[in-house]
Amino acid sequence: MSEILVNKLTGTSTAGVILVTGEGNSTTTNLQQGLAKQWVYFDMASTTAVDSLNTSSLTDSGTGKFVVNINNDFNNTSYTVNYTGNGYASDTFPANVTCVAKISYETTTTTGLYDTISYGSALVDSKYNYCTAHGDLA
Amino acid sequence: MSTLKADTIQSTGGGAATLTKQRAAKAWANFNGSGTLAVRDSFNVTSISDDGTGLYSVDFSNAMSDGNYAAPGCATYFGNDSATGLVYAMRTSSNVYTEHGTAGFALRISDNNADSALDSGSVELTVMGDLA
Repeated sequence: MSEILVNKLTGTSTAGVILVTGEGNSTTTNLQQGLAKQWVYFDMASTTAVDSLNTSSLTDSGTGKFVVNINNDFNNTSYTVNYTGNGYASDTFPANVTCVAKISYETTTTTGLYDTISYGSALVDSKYNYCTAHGDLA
Repeated sequence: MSTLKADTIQSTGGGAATLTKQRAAKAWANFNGSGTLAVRDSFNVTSISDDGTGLYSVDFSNAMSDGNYAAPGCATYFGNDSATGLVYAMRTSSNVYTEHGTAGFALRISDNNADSALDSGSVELTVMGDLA
């Protein structure tokens, strides 16, 4: 196997566009568009992330509600967030678990944060919260 | 810092190069499914169809190699932070796709309490797996 050791990849035509060949060898995919730009694993009992990427801080905005603050902002508010939680403060799941992100999307105009909500029969500080965000960085 | 400038990266055999410890998403989308469907932003998604209340179909620009990909997502009431929420789930639709087709997939948004299908003002999804 040949191997290139390098610290930074840059497109020659457009700096932020590098194509990589897909697994089936028939198509290419935009590497930058596919990379998660931010992710975080956190417990709503604490405002300190267990682990994260491009996450500056977490803000507790009420029972079952957290704000994820992004370090390097997105360039618009149309980025995609996937959020999963267990809707319970311990190692189990209640009925009617719902975890949603960007709950104030309509009124959130900043590109540097998004809201999460954890609901398991009632709003609850969920133990396991996982968020990933894809989109365009500023 | 060393910098490699290239537009396309392939393996020496012309196939997919191995990106050490990296796996990129192959598609993602953020769309408004309430009223007239509007895609806010997307990657490798050629279209999203409104199949009825709470029912949507996502078409890929470049197909996946099989139906074994992961497509997590979530949905919200638009601008509403009420305690109840919406559930994002795959669905099988014989006249659109079987669940997890290579060309796309179908999904259903429902209320978490009543399990009634509802349109969402913000559906966000990501697709991880192998391209064709």
